[in-house]
Amino acid sequence: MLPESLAVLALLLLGLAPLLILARRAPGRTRRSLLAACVLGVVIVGLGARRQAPGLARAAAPPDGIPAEVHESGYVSSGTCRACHPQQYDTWHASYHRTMTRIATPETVKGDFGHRSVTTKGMEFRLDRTGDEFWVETEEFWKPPPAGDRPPRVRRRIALVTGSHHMQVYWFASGEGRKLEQLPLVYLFEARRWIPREAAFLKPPVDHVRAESGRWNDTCISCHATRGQPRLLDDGGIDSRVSEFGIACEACHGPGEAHVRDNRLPWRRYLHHRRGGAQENVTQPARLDARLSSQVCGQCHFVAAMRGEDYARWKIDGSPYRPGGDLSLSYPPVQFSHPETVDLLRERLPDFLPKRFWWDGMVRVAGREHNGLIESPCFIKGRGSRQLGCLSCHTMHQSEHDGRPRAEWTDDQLVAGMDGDRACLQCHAAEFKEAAHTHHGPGSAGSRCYNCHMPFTTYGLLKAIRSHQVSSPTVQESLATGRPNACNQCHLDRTLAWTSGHLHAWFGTGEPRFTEEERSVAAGALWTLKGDAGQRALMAWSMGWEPARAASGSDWQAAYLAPLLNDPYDAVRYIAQRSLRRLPGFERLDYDFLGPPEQRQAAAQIVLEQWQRQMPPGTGRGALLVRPDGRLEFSAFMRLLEQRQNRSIELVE
Amino acid sequence: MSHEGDDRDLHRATRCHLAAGWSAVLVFLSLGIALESLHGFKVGWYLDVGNSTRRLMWTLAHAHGTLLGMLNILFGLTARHVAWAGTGRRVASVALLGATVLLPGGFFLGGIRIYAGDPGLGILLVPVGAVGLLLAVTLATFAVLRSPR
Repeated sequence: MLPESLAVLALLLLGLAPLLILARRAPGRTRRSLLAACVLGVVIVGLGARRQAPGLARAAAPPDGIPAEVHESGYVSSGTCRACHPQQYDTWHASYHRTMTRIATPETVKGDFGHRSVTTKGMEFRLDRTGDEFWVETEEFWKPPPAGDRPPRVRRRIALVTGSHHMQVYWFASGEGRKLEQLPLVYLFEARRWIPREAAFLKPPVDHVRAESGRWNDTCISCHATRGQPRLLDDGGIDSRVSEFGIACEACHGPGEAHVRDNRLPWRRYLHHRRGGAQENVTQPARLDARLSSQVCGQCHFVAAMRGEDYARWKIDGSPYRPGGDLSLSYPPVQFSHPETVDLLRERLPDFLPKRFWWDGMVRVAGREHNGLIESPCFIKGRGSRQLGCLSCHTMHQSEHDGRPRAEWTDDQLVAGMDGDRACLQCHAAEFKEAAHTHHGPGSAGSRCYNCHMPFTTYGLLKAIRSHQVSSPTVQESLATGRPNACNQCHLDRTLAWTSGHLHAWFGTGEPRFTEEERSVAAGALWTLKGDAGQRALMAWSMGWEPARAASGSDWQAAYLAPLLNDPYDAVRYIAQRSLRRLPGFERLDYDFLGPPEQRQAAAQIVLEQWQRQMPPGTGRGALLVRPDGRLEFSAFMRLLEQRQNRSIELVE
Repeated sequence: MSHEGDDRDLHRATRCHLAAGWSAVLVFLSLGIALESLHGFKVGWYLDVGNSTRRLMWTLAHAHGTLLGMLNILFGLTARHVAWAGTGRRVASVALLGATVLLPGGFFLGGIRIYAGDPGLGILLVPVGAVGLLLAVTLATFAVLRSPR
């Protein structure tokens, strides 16, 4: 604030100097008038300056004990980039990358802190707002409780928020160095309500509040801030630092200090404007080849095969990777085609891979798209401009010529037109769009490249997300891994044998052996009733997916979604009720996915009965266990449900 | 120059500055209306954040042009009021008239083609005009201070 004040004062004196000179020589009355004008000018400018900066005067300072924002090691922050790159700054500013983590302010906090009480897993949280500060009062659950007693109740100020697209997570200072504690409640935007943190992720159910002490410092800091340095010290202290909260310019372009210094001279800038080309001392991912540019995204959107010594370095200094460098030299990405990256993790962390990958190595969770991309034939076989990379379809700065509303672009940051077949037809011949290849009607969902080659087989953010490993559907993959194949994710009402027959007839793929069940019962029914929690979540989502309802009808899903209303996993129940509400007759379903089990069971029963009433005779569908009279083959249905895969599933997004 | 010649020269200069001043006010107030229209119709080429440099340049052209127009009127009236003749006045006149063209013109040209955060090369006219303006104002200030009470 001080330099700005001095600048205003200097300008004011400069402006008043001629008046003062004139006043010196002017006669008495004129002199008084001129001096009065000077005083009036000072008062007006002073009041104006005060009014222009009310935020500076009133903004609450961030609380102590949170990771420090420090501009060092050549990082200068996005505020510096703004002056020369207004369009890029503007598009980044609108993106969800920027808002990955921010200081808690009235502008950034989206959760309801309106003096309310939320109780979860037997613990009460009182949330309130005082001025521009947000507070929680609760039991000190992150510390060991006194023997035989409940932890004392304490009041903590919310310091940071993470997320602004689907849900928001809240952090407060632990009081130990710069370690953060996580509020075990998440505000879910779609539902406009607080939910337990565990309910927002696909995790086995727990019946007590669990602390996530230091989670932001030791995990989130990597990719929810720019140039994060965990600084988890050997003595147990935590002194985390970031260059900037959120994913800012320098996360993708590298530290900007040298670039800023180089371009301070105007003639250097104008020479560059005239000549064009790349600038030194800064990375422009769009000028890198597909492999290196994708690694810029991959530094966050990947699962790394980190060795013990890598972690020892990382926990102090953070990632050594800088945009433009070779990410695989810092941390090789997990690739099942490179067994050494897999074996390393299997030895060190046996649970690590199943929480992130299908058994054949395809990514199973959202946010790890880079691992999928680099195993795709379009990446492996592509060369030069025809090699698939993140920037083939995505852009981090919406083009000035892109007429879509900003909010539409920010959703997935796709280049205009890349939400359709054009993405693939950049390289592949147009004949692949013909019915001879797709075997589906022109313009139908089944003729879309994405729907067959990038199906919704990854999970995250309480929904299914497209796989970023480009592949062709096979029944074998479903039999080997349990992953829904693209055909049956749309044709939920068809059996695996039906799919296999068509793929064999159309593309000559081999036909595996099937059990009687796989020949007679729809794949969607089997995965929904017998599948593990991850499969059930994908099926629950697919039953609400418009193309799947168009392909397989909308009159049967309620019967299958009903048991999922009482699924052990919160996330599965949430997705099931959302899909159910999209079905005719169930739009006003009275159901709380966090309600007690008996209430959820009752809701499931009501849905099943209502569905049964809605099903007219003559609508039998054998593969879905619906008899010709429209009644459910209840015993077969229950028999499959009893075979449900209850293996504990946790998917780490 | 004779006394009569000085009078004629002063009269010509006053008329010249009044004409230049009112013309500049007319031109740059019209530019202001054009800019308001660009606001009214939300023209992205002017209003989008990526074009903020153009917006700044043209706003500066409008403001400087209008103020310089008014300054020319004041200059003409002042010169006549204090009977300011001679080389100093002629130099100040040329400098001010030059600044009236170069300053707003430089801002305007600089806004036609922009390079993200940098204006176009027309901006090079601005410092030349600024020096001219400073010279004219300095000479005028001293002329007024030296004039008989």
